Amino acid sequence: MLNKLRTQLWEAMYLNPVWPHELLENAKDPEYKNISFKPLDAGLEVELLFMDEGQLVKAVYLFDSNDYLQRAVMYENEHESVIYDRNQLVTNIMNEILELTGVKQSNKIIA
Amino acid sequence: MGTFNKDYFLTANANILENDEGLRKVQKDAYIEICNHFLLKKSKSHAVAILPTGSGKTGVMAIAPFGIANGRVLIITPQLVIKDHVLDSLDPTNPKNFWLRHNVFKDFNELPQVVEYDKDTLFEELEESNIIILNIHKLSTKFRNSLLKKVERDFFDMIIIDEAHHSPAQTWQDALEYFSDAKVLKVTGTPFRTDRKKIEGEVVINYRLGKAMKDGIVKSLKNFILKPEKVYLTIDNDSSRKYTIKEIEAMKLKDKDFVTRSVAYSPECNKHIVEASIDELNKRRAGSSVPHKIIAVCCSIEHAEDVKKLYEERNLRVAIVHSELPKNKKIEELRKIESHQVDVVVHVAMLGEGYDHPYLSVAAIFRPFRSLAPYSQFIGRILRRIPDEEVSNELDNIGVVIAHRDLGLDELWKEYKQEQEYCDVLRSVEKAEKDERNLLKKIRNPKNSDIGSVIVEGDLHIEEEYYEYTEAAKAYEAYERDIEEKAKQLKQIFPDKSEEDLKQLARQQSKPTVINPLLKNPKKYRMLLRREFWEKVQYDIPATLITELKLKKEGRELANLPLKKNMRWILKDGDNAAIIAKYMNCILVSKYGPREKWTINDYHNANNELDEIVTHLKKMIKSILF
Repeated sequence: MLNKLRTQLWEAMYLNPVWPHELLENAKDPEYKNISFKPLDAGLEVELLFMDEGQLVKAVYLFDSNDYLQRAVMYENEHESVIYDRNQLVTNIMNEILELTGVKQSNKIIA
Repeated sequence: MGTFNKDYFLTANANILENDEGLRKVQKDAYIEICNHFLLKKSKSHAVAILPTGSGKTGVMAIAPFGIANGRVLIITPQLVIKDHVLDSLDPTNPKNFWLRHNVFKDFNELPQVVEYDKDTLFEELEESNIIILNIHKLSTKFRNSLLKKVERDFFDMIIIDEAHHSPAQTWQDALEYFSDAKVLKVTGTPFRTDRKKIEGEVVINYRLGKAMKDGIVKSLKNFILKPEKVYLTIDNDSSRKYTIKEIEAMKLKDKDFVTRSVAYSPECNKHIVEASIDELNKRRAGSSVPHKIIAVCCSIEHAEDVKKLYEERNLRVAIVHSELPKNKKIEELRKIESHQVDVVVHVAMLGEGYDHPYLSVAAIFRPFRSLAPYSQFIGRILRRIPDEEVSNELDNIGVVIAHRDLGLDELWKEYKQEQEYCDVLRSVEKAEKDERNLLKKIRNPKNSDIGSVIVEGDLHIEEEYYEYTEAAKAYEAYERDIEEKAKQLKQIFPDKSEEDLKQLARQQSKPTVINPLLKNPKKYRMLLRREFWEKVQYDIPATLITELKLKKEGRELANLPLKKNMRWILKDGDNAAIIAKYMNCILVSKYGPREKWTINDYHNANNELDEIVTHLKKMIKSILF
């Protein structure tokens, strides 16, 4: 269990679940109305608009300057749902490890 | 839940005194004191149990009748929100009902018969119930269907009054006089009535807030006062002249209420509170999966609307609750809070005592208070502790109160602070005792490890954290070496590409092992999540339950499920499988709203709750089958 969590920890810190160009593949699906790429000061924002069950849904992906995904959010019914958050993921795994190893919990966040 | 048994409370095998895991020590202590009062002392006076918000008052009411009440029990609440909360906690059909959740009973059919009294309640239903719950106004003799006009004086053997500090009103006195032979238990968070007089009766337990904090039963509290360097006010719409608060006081231009009211309505001061409360919310949410929320209290409905806008400008989702909200809208707003579809709850004199949502952690005060009762009721909203199994870090169980200095809340906070100090004293006494015991042990039985030079120093916590990140970095280094190897191999296929490009190509082929592959297609992600969830609810769960409980899919045994009135339509038609699917659907929609409006968060939250709903349904099914 602990080894599994340790693998998850380094993967969450150093691997990338999705690259910006992979999102472009969605353009082939006619339900996707728009996919736009916007450069940011220290990265890239990709916005995807698509129809699902008659509703227009927006998804926003934020990548760092190395194209590593940091955060992905979906906006449905005027509500925001986070579908990926690297910081949160790392912190959650770290807390699970600390709990398992019996060490006092930490709320330190990895920048 | 069996048929009516008059001796139910004397014969039921409730697991109370040996129940260390399900019940808190204070609940058992309160139960013992209530038994002492009514059974050993055979006292006729009212028993008063003082237990602060969040310490488990409803639980005490749930266990108090066992072994004591020789007949029916009446529970009276002072207002509808409290009544709904009590009813919800003691409703046998609710998966989270107190008795099953806290192992007081294991089986559904051991539970008491509980009914809410309203104008449609039949006398037969009252007769066949062990516990009757109502709001105080249903006892008013002015009310055509008053319970006092329907039952005899000896109909109840025990009366439990929730939030008993409301009890001086005439209706309460009339009711207590009518049922004068009944044993009366008064439960309250404060020893003083709303008119500041002492509650009549004998205090059997007084569990102080500070002790509850120390015992880790309620959240600890932190106060956060915003102190702007200078605050100026204008008077009578004359913007040409500005006064400091001291000037206004010294010149006796306006009274204290004017100042606090002005501060409360000032957009500038409101913005400060909004920002400080969001900061505190973010601190709690970072590094925690607990759905922390802000609860804000405002002066008026218009003021609440203004504050709502301020939070919305900062992209937070806001529910607003006030007395003029139509009933449906109010239910909808409360539902959104329960299902974590909002970040902020703004209310105007509405969610006082009895409103129970442990995820309210930041109290933002936008109005002045003059007396302790409403102030402490409001702060009580953030005291309820986050369950241990959900806690991610220490901050999860530290509530914070945010207010502006010039709202004049210092005095009221001081009373609260005394409790915090009381808690700190208890902690230090306990620690000193523990240290003393350890020291004694070591002096009496010295071991080699107790004497001599110190060999190991340092903070284990930091070392361990450092170790985890070092290990992660090592794993990454190994991964990068692997990438270099792969890049070398790729070089043979693409000799023109640079080393960095080839490395990037190799990196793109490796994905984290536990990541959802649908992350690259958000539409599919959403669609699949939805489909999998509803397939589970409509097919998998009914099929599993039917197989496990050896039911026939086409049978209709489940038409006898003991459901609440408003859910009985589920049983009217359809076979067992359909009834299970409709039940699941009904519970989920009542909590999260219409399916077409569900968000991804709602699906995740609902999924986390499925086990609990199914376990309870199973218990209900077993109660009618076996």
